[in-house]
Amino acid sequence: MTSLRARLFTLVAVMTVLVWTAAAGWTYFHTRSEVQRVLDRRLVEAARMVSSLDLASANNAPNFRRLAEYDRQLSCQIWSLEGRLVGRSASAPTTELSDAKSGFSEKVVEGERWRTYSLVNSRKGTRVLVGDNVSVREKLVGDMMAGLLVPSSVALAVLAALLWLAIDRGLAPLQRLSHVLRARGPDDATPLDVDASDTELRPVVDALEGLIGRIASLRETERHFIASAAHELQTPLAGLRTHAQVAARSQDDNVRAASLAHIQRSVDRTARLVRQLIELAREEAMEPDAVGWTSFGAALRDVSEGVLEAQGPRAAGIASSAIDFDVWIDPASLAIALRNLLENALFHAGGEQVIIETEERGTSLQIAICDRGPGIDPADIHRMRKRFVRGKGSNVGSGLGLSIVELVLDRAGVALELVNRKGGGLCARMVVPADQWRRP
Amino acid sequence: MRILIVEDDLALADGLRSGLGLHGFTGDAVHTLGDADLAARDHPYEAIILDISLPDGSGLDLLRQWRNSGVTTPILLLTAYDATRDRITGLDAGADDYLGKPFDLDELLARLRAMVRRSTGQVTPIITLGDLEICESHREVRQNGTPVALSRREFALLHALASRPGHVLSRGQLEERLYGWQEEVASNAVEVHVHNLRAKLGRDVIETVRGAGYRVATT
Repeated sequence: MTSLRARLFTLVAVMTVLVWTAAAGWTYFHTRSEVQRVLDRRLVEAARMVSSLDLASANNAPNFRRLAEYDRQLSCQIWSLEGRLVGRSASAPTTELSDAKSGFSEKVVEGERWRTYSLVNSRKGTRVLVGDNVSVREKLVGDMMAGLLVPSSVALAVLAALLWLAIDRGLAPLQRLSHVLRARGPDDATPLDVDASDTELRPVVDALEGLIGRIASLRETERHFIASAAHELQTPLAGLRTHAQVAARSQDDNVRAASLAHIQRSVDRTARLVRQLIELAREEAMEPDAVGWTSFGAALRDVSEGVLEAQGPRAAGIASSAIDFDVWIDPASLAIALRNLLENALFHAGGEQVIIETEERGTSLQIAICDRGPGIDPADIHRMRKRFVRGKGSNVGSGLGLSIVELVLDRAGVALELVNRKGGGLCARMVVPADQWRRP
Repeated sequence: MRILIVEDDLALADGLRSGLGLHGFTGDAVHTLGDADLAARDHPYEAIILDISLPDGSGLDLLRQWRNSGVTTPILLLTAYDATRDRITGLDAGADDYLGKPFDLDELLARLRAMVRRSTGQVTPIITLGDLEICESHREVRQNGTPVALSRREFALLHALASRPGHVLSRGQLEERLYGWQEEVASNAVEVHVHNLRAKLGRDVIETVRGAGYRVATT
């Protein structure tokens, strides 16, 4: 795990050192050239001064010795135009400091580098050379830079410490946020108690609160689902137990037979409820994995056979027109939707055949499964899709069938419509959009 | 004892009715709040078994409504919502007892008997009337310590009268307590049962109050 603070500090520190170094380099070169310029100016002035002195001719050489202590840094030589050393300062070497006739030049003399200005005075017949020892010059610049660098380095260290503290302060809201988050329980859905007025942190806190809200509502849904599922199972179990006790105790054969028949029906119903609960949980947890062109006719045949067989000879029967098209859907999802819709239709068939009709509506395809049952109270038609909601007066269903159908169809992009049928009964319509069905 | 069963699960309601019948109770089953309200106003039930989640609303709402309008019938909530919180809510709404599903039939019956006993101000499960001992939990009657065999209806009739000694019950009231809706009642059924009881326990056990009905002697 990397520390945001360490990274921020490293970045800022590296940048600062880079800028600092660049500034120091700039200062160094600028100071150096400025010093060179000033000292060069001095050479020129010193040369002019010496040249203009009334030392007169090259013949009065002995008088020049007085120039000796002019400046320790500066060395001065006076040569006659014929190339004879007429005079020099005390620190000056005896070798000619420059080969150049006039102007600036640099030359190594007796192991030392000299920068020299030559000035020819043709009237007097002399050539004045004034030179600076380059190493002395460099030392001057070096000393100046050292004088600058030491306080700068101390300042840099102080700056680093201040930066560390400043970053710490700057990241404090983030740290508070992490403390608050760490201290929260999994069921805590209250808003985060963080003063996040910073424009950078506010979106994070808002997003977190949004997430916490969504998780809380998900957990609530889950809790409600589990409580409802438990509740839905308790009642048939209570019925089973009561009938079992009655059957065990009753001396009356009729009572016993009735109770056993009840037990059989209750077991069927409970088994269906458990199957639906598992279906719902599985469909919710998993994405369909085999989406593709699925033959609707074949799926309908398979599911119809299974449902009719499970319902036994009491079942009302299913009639359908010739169905010959493919739907873009996961075959397992289609089977689940069809089975639940057919079961619902047969439960409420009212003794009449369940009819399956297909119809093209614009570009989409509509498949309707219609029964002649009691239909749905228009006031209930939206509520019926909710989990564990049964129609008024319905004691057979679990209230899960339509929820499951809606879940799988919605994910497959197929709409589910519930409409009361003319002449009584209900039609459950699946509406398949244009790009999801085709004739083979 | 006549009990109203309010339960939307047909299988369970039917099982309860049969189970109660086996133990000398008479049960009427309804499946919605609306029917329950009508039935409870129509007949003097000795107790009501009430489910909470019903297709047309919550049993708790009906319970509160009944209690507010002065219905004092003992009510047992029989529901799958069995958390402590649910039980507290139910009892505070005016229920006399609470039983979670699934339940044991014997426990349910014992709770019903206890509830009804309390509602008549009786503390022991055995009613003593002179030389008679009526034990409701075993549906047993002893006279001077000797068991007397009674039919289900005979016991129910004797128990109804003995629960409130000295209190007169009319023939109609007794019929209502003895028979459920679906049962055919012969016009002289009550007289026949009274006659049989007198034959088994002695003439003085049940007193006829002319033009009013029957009662058991208080001494």
